[in-house]
Amino acid sequence: MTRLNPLSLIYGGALIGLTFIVISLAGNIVGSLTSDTQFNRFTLDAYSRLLSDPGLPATLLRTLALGFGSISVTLAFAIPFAWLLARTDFKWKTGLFTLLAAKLAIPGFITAMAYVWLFNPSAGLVNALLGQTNYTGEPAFDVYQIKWLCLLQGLVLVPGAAFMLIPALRNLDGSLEEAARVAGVPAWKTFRHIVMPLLAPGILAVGVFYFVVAVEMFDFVAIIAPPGDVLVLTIYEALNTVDGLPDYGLAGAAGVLLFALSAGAILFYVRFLRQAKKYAVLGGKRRDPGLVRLGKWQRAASALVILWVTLSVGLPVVTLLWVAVVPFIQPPTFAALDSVSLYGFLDGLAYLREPLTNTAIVMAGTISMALTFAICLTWVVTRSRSTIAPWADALVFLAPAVPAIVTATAFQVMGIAVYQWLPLYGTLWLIMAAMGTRMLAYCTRTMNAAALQIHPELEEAAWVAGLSRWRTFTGVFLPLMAPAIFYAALMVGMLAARDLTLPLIMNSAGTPLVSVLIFDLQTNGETASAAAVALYMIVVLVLLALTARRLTGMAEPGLEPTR
Amino acid sequence: MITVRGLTATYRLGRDTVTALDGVDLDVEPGQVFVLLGPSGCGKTTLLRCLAGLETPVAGQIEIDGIPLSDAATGLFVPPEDRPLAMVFQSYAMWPHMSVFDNVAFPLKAGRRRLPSNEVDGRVDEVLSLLGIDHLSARSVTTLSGGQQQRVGLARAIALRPRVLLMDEPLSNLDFRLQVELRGQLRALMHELNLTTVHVTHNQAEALEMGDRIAVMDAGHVVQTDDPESIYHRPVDEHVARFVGDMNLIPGSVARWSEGTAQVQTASGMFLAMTAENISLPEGARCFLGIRPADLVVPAPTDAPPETCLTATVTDRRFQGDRMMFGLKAGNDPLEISTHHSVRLSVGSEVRVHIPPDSAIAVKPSPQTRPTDQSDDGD
Repeated sequence: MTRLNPLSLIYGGALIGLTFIVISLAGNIVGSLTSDTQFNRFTLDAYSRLLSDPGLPATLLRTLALGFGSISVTLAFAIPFAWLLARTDFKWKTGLFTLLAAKLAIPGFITAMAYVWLFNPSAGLVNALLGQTNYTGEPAFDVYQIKWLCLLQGLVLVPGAAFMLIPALRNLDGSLEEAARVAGVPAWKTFRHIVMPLLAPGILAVGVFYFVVAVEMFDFVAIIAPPGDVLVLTIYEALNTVDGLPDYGLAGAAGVLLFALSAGAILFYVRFLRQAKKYAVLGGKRRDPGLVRLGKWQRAASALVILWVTLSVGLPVVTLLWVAVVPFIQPPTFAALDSVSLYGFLDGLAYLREPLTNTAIVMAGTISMALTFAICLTWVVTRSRSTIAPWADALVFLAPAVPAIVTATAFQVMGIAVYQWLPLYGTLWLIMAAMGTRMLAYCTRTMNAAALQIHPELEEAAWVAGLSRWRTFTGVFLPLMAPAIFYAALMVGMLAARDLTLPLIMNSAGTPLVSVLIFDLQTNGETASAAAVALYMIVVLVLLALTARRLTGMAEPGLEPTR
Repeated sequence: MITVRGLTATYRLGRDTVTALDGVDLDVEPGQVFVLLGPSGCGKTTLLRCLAGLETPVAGQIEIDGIPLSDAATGLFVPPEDRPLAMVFQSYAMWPHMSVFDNVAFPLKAGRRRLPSNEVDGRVDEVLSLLGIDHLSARSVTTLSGGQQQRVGLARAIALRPRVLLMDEPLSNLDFRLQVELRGQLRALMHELNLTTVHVTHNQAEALEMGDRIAVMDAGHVVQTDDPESIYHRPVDEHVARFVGDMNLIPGSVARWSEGTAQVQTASGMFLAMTAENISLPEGARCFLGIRPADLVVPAPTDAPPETCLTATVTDRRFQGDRMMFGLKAGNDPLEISTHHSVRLSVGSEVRVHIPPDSAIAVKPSPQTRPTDQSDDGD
């Protein structure tokens, strides 16, 4: 009788994780090749319907415009912010840092909601204040436009992008700039000819990554549907048809197209990184770049920060606060002040009871799933020297390219396919599985980075000293990884709680989550309760995010991409 | 040429302010290779970076050719790009996105000391061939070896025809054989170009071989400035004696002192010794009798006067190829002796050791008050 090798537990965990990733990739392909969810007959019908749609080229163009527009806004703020934080003596560094971390926790769809209340053409607060709405003629502002989507998505992605750029700026060898200065090259020429070319790969990497995010992001499009489709909307509409029957074939085909777009961008990014690597390591000891004195530019920097904070935090939060205390959307006038009440907050509490429990369950489930599988995968990839390691690595790398809405569709299709054996369809379990898979990609990246920082000799020392590989795993590897695991758990919890895309697509009518509750209240016109619940959510998530930052130290933020 | 007066520089370490340079004075003559020598954290790199304008001193002045570059009292500070100097970095600081040619040409095209565009190519080719790397011109710097990068770094600096060349540990990242080879080449090149050079190193052999003058630094102070032979043979204090080459330091006290010579009383007897210039050794003060391992004569010649000899026991013997090292003990004081490899002394035996008076030196103890902060200043 052979004893079960405990190491096989790790391999087993890794394999399950990989299976989930494969499902999120393959589910759409399966869905797109079947029709009427008859899984015994394969057809290309969905593709011909998608490709023969005369609106498709315009949809693709709008999708690209949304991607490029959003990253332009993101980079316009993220590059200066990262530079201020990493390389200057900017006075409000801690403040900016905290605001960026806090903003990371505010769900995008809540920002979108606030902007709809402010700038929708029929009754937007600003339009109403100006007396220019649809009813009086030309509205002053119309939020339902691609350019607004670009602006808002762009603003929301700033913290993640800035945190991703900071290490690139910090790691720049200071002596390269000093060499230019001492050789007589003035500061701005040094910046243009030395700093910028060396930063270009980092900036491009961030740009490509957030292009993918901007294209697949559903938070804004779900609330601010622009005239004409973008790809995520095509998928959403296919899943929510007029006759009520989801068209998984069309959704799958559009999902494959969206995935192709993302994967193309990610591959481009990988190729570029590889080319950029030849710039990377040059002999000798590098020197920390010194801090640039801003002097009279302190004010300009502050102004840019204030602009971003006002647009992305101040305005939405103030709007939420106002909308939460008035019975219906109305401009803040003296007359409106009479109707101010806290009923929205009370109603919100009442509505929250069941969704809060569901959200807590989903958070716990997602955290345990994503972390368990991610730890196993990380160990297999970075430590095992197993033949499946490179394959696992490649799959994990591709996983973030699978858009959330595509993952959702894939798990729906799979849920239906296996329903007769495993009735998970329509339950929280399926949502958890989909969300766990989505977070798995994020966790594995974070943990791989952390695992590579830990010198393998630490484990080899234990191994050579007579500990089994399993004891080495539990006694050395896990404790050393603990900070990374803890941080990932907090981040996954936060991201799971605020996610709207998966629960919205996966149709959990019987088991509502907080995010869906807010969305539904908003759609049904119960604006005060929607705003109140949104505020509750923001407070909890911001506290969670700031705790995560505090506990894991402020020193090295965002070594991994977050959104 | 270069005049430094009262230069003080600090840096922040967490909440503390650490003094990296503490009132340093320095004079470098034109055409000199001037070496700043000292252990890690002594402030030598900070001093070089102050000259370059990469650090801002909190007190003191720097002048080159009588032109003030930095004066903390008046707030004058000329930025690095406007100083008439060039620098070779310890990391070489090759711009990785440029070819060898472009690394050298970029400052000539975009810098304050730019050349008319039709002269750039000629100047670059000239220095590349001077350093024997013209065949690498089109290569990417990332494909070069350490020694080649070092030459490109030097070419980039020389191409500017600077008044002063600053070199920060330029050889420390190379393997030993190449270091030794380049020392002589570099020194010859500096003199051929008549370049005033300030060279930072922690390697005493490199300092002795390359320097026309050496300033030995310790804890933010210049302890001794002299020519290499005086530094080696007439160290002003214990720190210099210990740092520049090995020296036996037998504890004792000053019995008698007159300018240039002293009598040192040790446990093994009274010995006559030389002293460094410009130091005073008050009678009765603690001091060391210093002597280089290679200057001790063993066994002592029979005609050596008894007052120049001591008796010691051989404790160990180490064969080093061309030399033989012996560890001895004279009373409680350990002694190291370096002899020709053919000398044979058996461990445990007693030998008479001769201390030639013109090789012995009375060495002052390092002041205890001098801060011994070892924090890294980047070298």
